[in-house]
Amino acid sequence: MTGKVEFFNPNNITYESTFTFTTAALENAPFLYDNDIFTTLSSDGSADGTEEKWTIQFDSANLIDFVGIFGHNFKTGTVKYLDETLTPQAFTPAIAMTTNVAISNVYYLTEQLCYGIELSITHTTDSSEKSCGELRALDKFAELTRPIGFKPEPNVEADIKKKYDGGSDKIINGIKYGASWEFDLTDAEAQIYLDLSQRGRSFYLYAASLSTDNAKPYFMVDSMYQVIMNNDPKLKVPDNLIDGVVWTGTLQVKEV
Amino acid sequence: MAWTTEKLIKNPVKFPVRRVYIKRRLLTGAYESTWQRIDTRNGVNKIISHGSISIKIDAEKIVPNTYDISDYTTKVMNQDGCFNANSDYRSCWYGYLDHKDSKIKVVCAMKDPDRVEVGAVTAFEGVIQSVTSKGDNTAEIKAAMYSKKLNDYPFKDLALTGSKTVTQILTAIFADTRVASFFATTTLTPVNNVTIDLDTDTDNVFDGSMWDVIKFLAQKSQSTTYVFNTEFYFGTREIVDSTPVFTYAGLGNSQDDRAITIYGKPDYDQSGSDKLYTTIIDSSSNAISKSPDVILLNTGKTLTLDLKDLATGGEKQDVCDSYLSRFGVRRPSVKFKSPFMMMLVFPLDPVAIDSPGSKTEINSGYYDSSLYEDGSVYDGDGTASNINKDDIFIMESVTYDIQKWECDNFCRKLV
Repeated sequence: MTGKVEFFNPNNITYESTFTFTTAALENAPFLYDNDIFTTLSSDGSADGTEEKWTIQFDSANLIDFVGIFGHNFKTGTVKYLDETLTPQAFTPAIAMTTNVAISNVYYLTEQLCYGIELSITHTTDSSEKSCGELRALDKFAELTRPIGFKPEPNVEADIKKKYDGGSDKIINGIKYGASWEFDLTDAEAQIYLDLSQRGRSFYLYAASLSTDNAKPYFMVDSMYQVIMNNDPKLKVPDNLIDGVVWTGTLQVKEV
Repeated sequence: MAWTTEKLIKNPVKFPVRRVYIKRRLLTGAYESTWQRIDTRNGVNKIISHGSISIKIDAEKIVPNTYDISDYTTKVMNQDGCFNANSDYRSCWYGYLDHKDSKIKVVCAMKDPDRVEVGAVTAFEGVIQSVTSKGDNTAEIKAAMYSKKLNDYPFKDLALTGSKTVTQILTAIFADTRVASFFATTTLTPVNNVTIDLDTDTDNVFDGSMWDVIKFLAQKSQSTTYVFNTEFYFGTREIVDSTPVFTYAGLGNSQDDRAITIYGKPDYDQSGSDKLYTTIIDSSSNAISKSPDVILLNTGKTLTLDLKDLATGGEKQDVCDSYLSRFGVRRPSVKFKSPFMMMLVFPLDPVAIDSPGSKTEINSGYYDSSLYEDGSVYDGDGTASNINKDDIFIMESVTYDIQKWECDNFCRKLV
C-alpha cells in the first residue's frame, strides 16, 4: 500500500456551537455532525440561485487544517472561516466550488485559528434545496505512512424477528466501522501508535489517500470514521528488518 | 423506486431511525425555542435503550372514557454528566431550570434501502418527570404525556361562573396560555353539548384540576377524551369509518406481496367469551337490557352498572342498550405481535387480519379436495385459526416498542 492513514481530532462543529441558517431548520443542525451522511441538513424554501448561508460559531477558537463536506448537492459556493471578529475570511487555499458535481469533497488547508465556519451556497447540482449530510472542520494530529495490511471488521447490529410463517425480518439498529490495520513504524511513528492507545478522546481515521480513484468501500472520499483504538499496543520487530523501519504494530479500531 | 412507510413496514430488512429531543425551560420558565437533540452528542450515541409506549382504551366503558397512555422511559449513557442536575456545570441543563417539565419528544422514521429517510413521525411527546443518575454512569429519563400537566392547573384559575356549555368550558381550558403551550391541535366536539351550572358544585369537582373537570365533562356529555402528543380529542368514540387502516398479513394471506406482518403466532379467541355480556342492569334505576338470543343468554354474563350520575331514565336505558349492542354478541379477539407500525394504528382504529392459514386437511366430501404429490392440499380446509380478511377488528391496545421495533396488539371484532 502507498499513501497514508491520517488521524484527526473530533469535529469542531458540536452541539455547543452556535448556528445561524438562512432557511434551514435550527432543530436539524445536529445532522451536520451526527456521523451519518444520509441524514441531511436542508434549506427550506431556498430557490436555486439564491444564496443559503450557514454560519457556525465554535464554542472556542480552534485550529483547523481540514474541511470535509460529505453527502451534499452543492454546485457553487464557498466555505470560509470566521476570524476573531467573526468576519468570514478565505482559507488558504480558498475553498470555492464553481462547477462541482461530487457529492463529497475534502480540503487540506494551511492550519488556521478559527472561531467558526461559514458556508455560502448558491446553486445545487439538482436545482433542489441545498442539503448536506456531514460538515467536518478538523485538525489533523498524526499520520502513519506505511500501512501494510488492512482487514475490515464492520459491526452490523441487528435483531432477527421470527414471522408467523417461520420467515425472518431483520431490524438493523446500526452499522459501525471496525478494522484491523497493520503498519510498519519508525521510532517516531511507534510513539504515535502508543499515543493512540492511551488517547483520552476518540479520533477520526481517514484512509482515502491510499486510493487514487476512491471507488473501494472504506477508501472513498467520505470514508471517514470516528473511532477508538480497541487493542493493546503490541510493537514487534519484523523478521525482515528494513532500514528505517524498526517496528510493526497492529491498530484495531472500532467506531464510536 | 419510491418507498412508502407501509412498504417499508413490510420490507424484511428494516433500518429504524430513533431520535430524541428536549426543550429545556429558560430561567424565566418559558421553553427554549428550538428542540435539542440528545440521543447523540457530536456523533456519539447516548441511548442505551429506548422505551415503549402503550396506548389502550377500556373496551367495556362507554361513558366516561379516556385513552390510557403509558409513561415513557429511556436509558442513556451519562459518563460526561450531561444528564446530571442543572447545578452540575457538565449538565446540558446547566444555565436552565432543572429536568422536571422539560419537554421531550421521540421521533421515529425508517430508511429505505438507499438510506433515504421516510415517514418521520413523533412517536411520543410529553414532559420529563424525572432523570435519575445511576452509579454506573447511566441515567434514566421518565416522561409522561402532556395530559399530566392538566392535573397541575386548578380549574378555579379560569374564574368561570354561571352556566356554560361543555364546549365553552373546554374552549376556556385550552385558551389558558399554560395549557395552550402543550397542545397544538384540539378537537372539542362533545356528543351532548349539555349546559353545566358552574355555581353549583355538589361534588366539588370545580375545586379540582382542569383534568378532573375534563373527565367530569366527558361523563356529562357522553364523550371520550384522547390525548396523544400535542393532540387533544374530545368527542364520540363511535367508529365513523370501518375501512381498515391496515390489513395485517398472516399465514396464507392473499395480499399481492404475501409479506407476513405478524411476528410469532397470534392468539385467536374465537369465542370472545371474556366480554360476552348478555344482561345489562343499572343498579340506580333497575334499567335492564337483555339479549334476545336464548343460547347466548345461557352463556353470557350479567354486567351491573351504576349510572347514578346520568340524569334521566332514558339516558340510563340508552347506556344499557349501548352496552348490549357492543357486548351482547360474540366478539372474537386477536392478540398478536407485528412490525413497528410507525404510529399508523391506534386504539379504536379498524384493522383487518388476512390469515386464512395453510390448508392442511382434506375435506370430507363436500368439496373436491385432494393431495398433491408433495403432500400439500388442494382446496382443503383451513387451519383452526383461520382469520378472515373481511372481518373488521377494532384495536383496543397497541404497544409501540421503540427499542425492539415491534408492536404488541390486541383487537376485537367489530359488532
